[in-house]
Amino acid sequence: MAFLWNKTSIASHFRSHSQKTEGLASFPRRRFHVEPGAREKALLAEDATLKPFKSYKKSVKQLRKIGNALTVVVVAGCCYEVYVRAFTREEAQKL
Amino acid sequence: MEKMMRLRPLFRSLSCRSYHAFPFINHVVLRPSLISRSPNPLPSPSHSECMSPFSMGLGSMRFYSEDLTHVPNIKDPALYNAFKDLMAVSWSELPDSVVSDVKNVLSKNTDDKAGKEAVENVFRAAEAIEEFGGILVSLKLEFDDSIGLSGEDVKPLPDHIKNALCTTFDRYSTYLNSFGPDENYLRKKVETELGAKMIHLKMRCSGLGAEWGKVTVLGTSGLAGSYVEQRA
Repeated sequence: MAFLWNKTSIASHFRSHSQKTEGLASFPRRRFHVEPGAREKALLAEDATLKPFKSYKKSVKQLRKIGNALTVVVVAGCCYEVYVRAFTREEAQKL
Repeated sequence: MEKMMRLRPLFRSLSCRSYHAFPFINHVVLRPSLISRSPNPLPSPSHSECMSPFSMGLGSMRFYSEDLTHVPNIKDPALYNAFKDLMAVSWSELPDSVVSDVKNVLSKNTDDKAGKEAVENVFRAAEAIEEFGGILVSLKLEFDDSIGLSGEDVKPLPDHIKNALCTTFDRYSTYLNSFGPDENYLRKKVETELGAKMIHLKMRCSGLGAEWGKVTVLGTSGLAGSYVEQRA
C-alpha cells in the first residue's frame, strides 16, 4: 500500500516535470522558438492513420536527460559514501 | 580601418562587375581569414581576360555553372556558418550543439534579413524532418514486428499499416513539391534525408505503385551510399 502510494507520487512528479518541460519552448536558456511553417505543419499534421506511429524523439531525449540526472545522483552518493567511510576509519585509527 | 581603406577599390571593382559569371568571388570576399591574410587588394582582371578563348570563336559566352544548384547568398558570417552546420549534419538526430548554435544566431539582430529567412527555413525543415523521420522509423519497426523474428510470418499488409503507408507517401510527395525553384538546395537535402527511410519502407513491401519509383537517394558515391547499402 505504501509502495503504491509512493509509485503514484513519483508518477505525478514526473508528469508535472514533463509538463513544466513542455511549458518551456524547448530551449530553456534563451527561450527562442522558431515556429513551423505552413508546409511543415502540413507534413506533421495529426492524422488517424498515422496516430499509432508517433515519433519517439522527444520522449527519448527526455528519458536520456533523466537518466543522466540519475547517474549524477548515484555517482555523487558513491563519492559521499567513500568519503564518509574513509573519515570514519581515520577517526577510529586516531582513537 | 586601414584594411578597409585598402579593400575599398576591391569592393568598387567587384560591385561594378557582374556577379553572375563568378559566384565564388562572394565566398572569397566573405571569408575573414582570407581578407586578413591578404591586405593588398587583388589585381582585378580586365574584361578581355574574363572571356574564355574557346567561346571567343563562337561569338557568344557560355557559363558553365549555369544550371547548378546555388545556395542562397548569405552575407553574415555567423549566419553562413550556421547554415553550413545545418546542411552538413544528419537530420535523423540533430545534435544539440548545432541546434543551440542556430538558435543563438537566429535570436540576434542582423542586417542580412534574406539570409536570416533562409536559415530559418532550413531550421524549420530540419526540425520537421527529424520528427517525420521518427514516424517513418516507427512504421518500419511495425513492419519488422509484424513479420516475426525470422520472417516466418510474412503475410499481406493489415489495413491500418497500408493506410499509414499511403498517407506517408502522400505527405512526402506534397512536402517535396512545395519547395520553390530557388529552394532546390533544401529540396535535395530533404530528399537525401527522407529518401533513405522511404527506401527502407519500400524494401519491405511488394506490389507498390509506380509512384514509389520516384523515391530517390541522392548523394550516393560508390558503394558506401549505394542502393544496396541502404537496405536495413
